[in-house]
Amino acid sequence: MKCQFCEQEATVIFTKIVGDKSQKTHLCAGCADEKGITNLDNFNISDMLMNDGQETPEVGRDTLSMGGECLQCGFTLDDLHNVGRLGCSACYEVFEQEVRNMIGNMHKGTQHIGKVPEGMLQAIEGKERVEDLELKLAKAIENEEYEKAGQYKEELLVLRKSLSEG
Amino acid sequence: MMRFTTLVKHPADWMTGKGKENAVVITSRIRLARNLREEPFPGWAMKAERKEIMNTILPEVRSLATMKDGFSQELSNLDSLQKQVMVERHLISREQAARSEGCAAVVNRKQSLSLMVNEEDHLRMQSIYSGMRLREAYDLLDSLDKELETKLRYAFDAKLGYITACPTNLGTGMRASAMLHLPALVLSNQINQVLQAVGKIGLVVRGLFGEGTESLGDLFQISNQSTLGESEESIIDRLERVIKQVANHERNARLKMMEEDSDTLTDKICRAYGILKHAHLFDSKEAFTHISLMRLGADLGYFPEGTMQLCDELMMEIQPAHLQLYAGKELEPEKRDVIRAEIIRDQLQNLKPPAISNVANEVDITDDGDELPIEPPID
Ligand SMILES: [Zn+2]
Ligand SMILES: [Zn+2]
Repeated sequence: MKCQFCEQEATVIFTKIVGDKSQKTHLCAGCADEKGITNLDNFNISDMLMNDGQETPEVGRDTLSMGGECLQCGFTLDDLHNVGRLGCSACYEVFEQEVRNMIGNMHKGTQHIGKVPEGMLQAIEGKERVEDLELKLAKAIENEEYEKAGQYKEELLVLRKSLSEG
Repeated sequence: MMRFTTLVKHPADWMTGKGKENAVVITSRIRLARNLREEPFPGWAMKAERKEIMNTILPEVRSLATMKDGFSQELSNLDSLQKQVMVERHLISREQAARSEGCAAVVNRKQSLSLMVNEEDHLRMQSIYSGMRLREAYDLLDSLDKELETKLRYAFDAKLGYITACPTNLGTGMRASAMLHLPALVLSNQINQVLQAVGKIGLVVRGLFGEGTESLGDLFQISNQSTLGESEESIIDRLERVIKQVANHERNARLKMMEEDSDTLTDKICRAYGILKHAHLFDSKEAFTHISLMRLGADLGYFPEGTMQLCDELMMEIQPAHLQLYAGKELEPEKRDVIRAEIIRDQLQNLKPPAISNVANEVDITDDGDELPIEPPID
């Protein structure tokens, strides 16, 4: 077996096991030394070959995003296809559909469980209540229950005001 | 502020591993990824934007009480050898070492905490402890993170959790890992079986092998793959359970070797000692193979106390950048092999030959019976 970085005989095999797959990288002693073989944390052959041990996520080309470009940072769908990473936090809203397709098999779930930054929890709860009220309002209008609708409208107004002040 | 020379002169807390059980689990590490809201991620930002982001984050990081009197430097102020040394010390990533302007590294005095500004994410924080101490490592980072989140506007989403440049880190943004020394599992050919089982339960294993069954440092890293849909707590729980079981397998394998074939084992350890103490040329592959065996011997009572730490320090010091720092100049690979052997001989100068009589003959093998997989596969 030849070294994957030069033509010499490989004597070291770097192995990474994920699930049923094991990926092997063959190196000669010199290259292994050069790339820091014992520093498994920083062992960046996996970076070069396999992208930091994180597989570069597959981005399905069949899904077309609505906007196609993030107004916040100028990142486009093509960029996403090319690098498998995003441009800024706002990109996650622009490319929501693509991200959802990417994370399907990547993680244990699709809903965050765990730590929430302080202060963020209230904001999130508020946002959820707004969404909830908006839904109820739309339904009330659809059913021509105008009295109810008026009530929801008022509640929304109050809630929005308190959120923007908070 | 701590100088670079001070940083490298002193071993990190985890390297000295004092009073801590770290024969099998060498280190525990936690890494958190955080980003600022609506700012371009480092890989997408222009140089000026990156600098601005660094100038937002750096003062907050530097003013943390835990980072007081630590090391803090923009990467553009470090030369490539210095950066390489920091990589070998696990203080910055290789990816970060390749960066310069608009990127920075901050390390606390004990070298148990290191923060990278503008790596793949705006902020990457890691804590590292010797032994099996993932929880402590997490608690330390968590308190740091809680302090920073009141000062920096983190990008966070109710569904996706902490927002990261790469979707593989979404959610907790946490990577927990442990470095394990598993020579007995390698020598007894059980390693593949054990590691495959770990891989099947949603964790990642990285390791090094020589050709065939030949071992190479016998170092393995186990870490979590998924960061979304599982709390920090449960990720650490799961990892800890698995690591403890792997460590148990290793312990049992060590005891079994002592009981069933102590002559072969003693011979291997004695040869490793002899070669390390007398050879004139060492490539790192060969050096690691022998140091690994000596480290095993240290755990089994062949060498006086402190020998294990000596082995750990050696593994650090014989890496290429450390060698060149020691030599005070750049070295060709062939020349490195000479210096490497020199350092090893020097360090082992006063170490007495393996004391075969000191080795515990009474062994008590705890047979927990069950083999990995430890728990049903996660789907
Ligand atoms: Zn090579
Ligand atoms: Zn964007």
